[in-house]
Amino acid sequence: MEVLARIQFAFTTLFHVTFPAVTVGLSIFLTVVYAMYMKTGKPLYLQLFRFWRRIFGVGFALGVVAGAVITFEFGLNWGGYAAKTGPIVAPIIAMEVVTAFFVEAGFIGVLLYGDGRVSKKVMLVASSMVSLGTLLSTTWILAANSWMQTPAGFEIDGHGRFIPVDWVEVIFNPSFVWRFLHMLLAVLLSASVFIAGISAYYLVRNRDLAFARRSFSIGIGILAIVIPVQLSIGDHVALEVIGKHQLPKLEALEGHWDDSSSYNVAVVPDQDAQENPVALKVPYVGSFIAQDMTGQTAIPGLKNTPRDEQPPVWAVFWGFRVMFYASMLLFAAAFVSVYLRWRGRLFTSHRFHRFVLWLTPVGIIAIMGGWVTAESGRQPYVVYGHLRTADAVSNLATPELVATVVGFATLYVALLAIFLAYVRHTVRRGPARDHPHYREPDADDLADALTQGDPR
Amino acid sequence: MTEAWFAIVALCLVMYVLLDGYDLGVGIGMFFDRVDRSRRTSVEIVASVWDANESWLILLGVTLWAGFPEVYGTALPHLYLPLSLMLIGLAMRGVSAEIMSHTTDPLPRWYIGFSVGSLIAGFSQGVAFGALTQRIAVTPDGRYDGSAFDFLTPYTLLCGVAAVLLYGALGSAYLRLKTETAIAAAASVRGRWFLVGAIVATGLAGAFVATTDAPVHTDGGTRLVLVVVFTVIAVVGAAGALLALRRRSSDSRHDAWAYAGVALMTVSGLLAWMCGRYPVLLPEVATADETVSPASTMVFLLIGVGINMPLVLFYNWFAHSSFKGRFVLAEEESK
Repeated sequence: MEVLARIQFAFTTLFHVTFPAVTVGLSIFLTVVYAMYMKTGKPLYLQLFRFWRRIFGVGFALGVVAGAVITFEFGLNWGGYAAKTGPIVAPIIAMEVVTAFFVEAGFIGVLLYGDGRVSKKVMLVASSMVSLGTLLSTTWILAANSWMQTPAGFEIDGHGRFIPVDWVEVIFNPSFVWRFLHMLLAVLLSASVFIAGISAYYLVRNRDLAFARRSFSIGIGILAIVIPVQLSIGDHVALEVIGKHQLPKLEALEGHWDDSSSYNVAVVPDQDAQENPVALKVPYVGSFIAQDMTGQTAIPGLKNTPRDEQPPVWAVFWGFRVMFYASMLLFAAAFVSVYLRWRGRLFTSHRFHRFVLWLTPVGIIAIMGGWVTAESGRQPYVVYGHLRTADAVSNLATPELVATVVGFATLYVALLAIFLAYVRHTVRRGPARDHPHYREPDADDLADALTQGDPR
Repeated sequence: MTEAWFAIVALCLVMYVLLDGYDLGVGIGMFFDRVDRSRRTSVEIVASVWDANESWLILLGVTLWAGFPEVYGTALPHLYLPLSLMLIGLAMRGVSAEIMSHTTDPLPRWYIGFSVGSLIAGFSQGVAFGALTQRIAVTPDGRYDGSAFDFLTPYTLLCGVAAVLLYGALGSAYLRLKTETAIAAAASVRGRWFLVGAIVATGLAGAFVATTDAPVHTDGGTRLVLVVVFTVIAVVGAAGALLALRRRSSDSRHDAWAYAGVALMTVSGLLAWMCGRYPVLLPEVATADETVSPASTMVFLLIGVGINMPLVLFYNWFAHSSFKGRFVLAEEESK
């Protein structure tokens, strides 16, 4: 029963995070690009705004409906959690709803449908407010989740309820600031590689080049600036935050059972036997992570943690490796892009464009891996060290759980398919029609194309 | 503080039913609307506001959770199947509306998704609302202990039907307000049928609430007065709406009366029910004071949410006022 509830929540949150992973960054991109349009008057910027707004709109809607499921799932599947942590977690989510959701929702109508109805200034304000809403949303949700990871500022009453004692300590708990920064940069990265990848499609196909070059340059440029910072922040989160406050999670994500200074590239763990029957590892490199280049510092192994406190190693290890290896790919792309830009070949290197095209979803995948690490690594607790997941689940009959696991999984697959079809359709259609000077081809154009030969 | 927070939860419920009521109602009404131009207009009207309207549902859930956590954690498992179905319906509605509003000539499947999703969401909400009048089985330490289909009774099904009809009435009245003559006239016809049905269904539901586990209390003078007053206002609203929907002229005052009348009926009806119900939150198990969050939570909430409420209301007003006036489909097709 607990397993089914966890599977359902995992499906819901992994499905949901796909959309903010694209829309938070896209909303900032839209605001910046519209501001550039107002400042320079160049129609290219309006074209960028109109085109990317299409994908933003549908992505945002899907994020909203999935988010509604999460809010209710807290009570539906996790009634024990809702009853006990409500006094602390629910007010934080309430702040998210009033300061972020309503701001986004209130202004998105104008952003998406306000063309011709509002002035340029109002459009810019609307776009900025939507961006602000997405940023505030990220802030509050990371505050709530971080409290679950490193709880602070509370006491537990006679009924097992968590009572807030100091709201400053609740919100600015030990992991909040660093995890928030890490997630903020993550969504910027995933959106920028999404933008770069789709732009690379046009570069590979040699079409809509003016649009594609500007989009690609912005996307891959942001990627290049942000990824080194993110790698550093991620390192800090792992060592300083997780290492200090959730050691079993660190042990699990490195995948060692006994203390070891080697680095596990890949493992197949056997938690019952407390060993890795299959392990691909590099000696001494583990010590580098602890910043000891002599190869003598060992990473602690899971056997340091009692078995009933150990998180599921396969999920934590592989979640982390997916995120880390994905970030290495992004770093490689960033590095190459800087070199190519310096050599003036950024827009002509088709092999690179094809590489980036394949990287389009990699930022999103990295974020999913990171969240799998964060939430699986938190097990067996839902409030770390204080409330076990098994004690938080709702008392439901197995058949009704199975029904909703299947029902929601089907819904998510369908919605994802719809989103992908919409993105594909929009990308193939292209940005030409979004250019302010576009006009439908007429008979003369057709005659010209036939007699002169279509350059495409 | 308990009463103040309950008032906020009540505000969220009222706002949600008024706002998402009309856009779900537009979707429900679409089953009976075969005119392509009318359907496309209806979708465009809803496209820019469904997100803000639905956000009141999220706020309703979260304010209930924050102020009365044990109620949230116990009532929701009782409502597991209807609320899960509601979420699926809302997802269908949202994605269909968004895809349609980005396409010039949507395929039939999106209209179906929009209508079916709205219907499922509305019906499930009514059933869930009705199920709140039931006594919920709990263990001694307050955890839900009932079975999957406890919520399913003739009364809750009646409430489901009532919600669908009421939303249909709200939606038709809203279309009457927002569209030009031909479409508005057709919406008025639908609205009349929905409204008559809604009056009968909500009347029955209101009458039979006395047979549920959460009857309306008639003790205490003020409570009785409030319940009676709100019920009378609801009847007045219903009558006004019926009259307004009978008018065939496009006199815009009467258009506004139609929506105002149904809205008044809805709000007053809800307020009457809540006044009669308070402070019982979980029938025979918990009252508001027993399950309210500790003071340190309530202070944070009243300040944090309280300060933001005027802003929230402003954002909603802004979203609607940016698209005020009657809606006419754009002639140029480059979307």
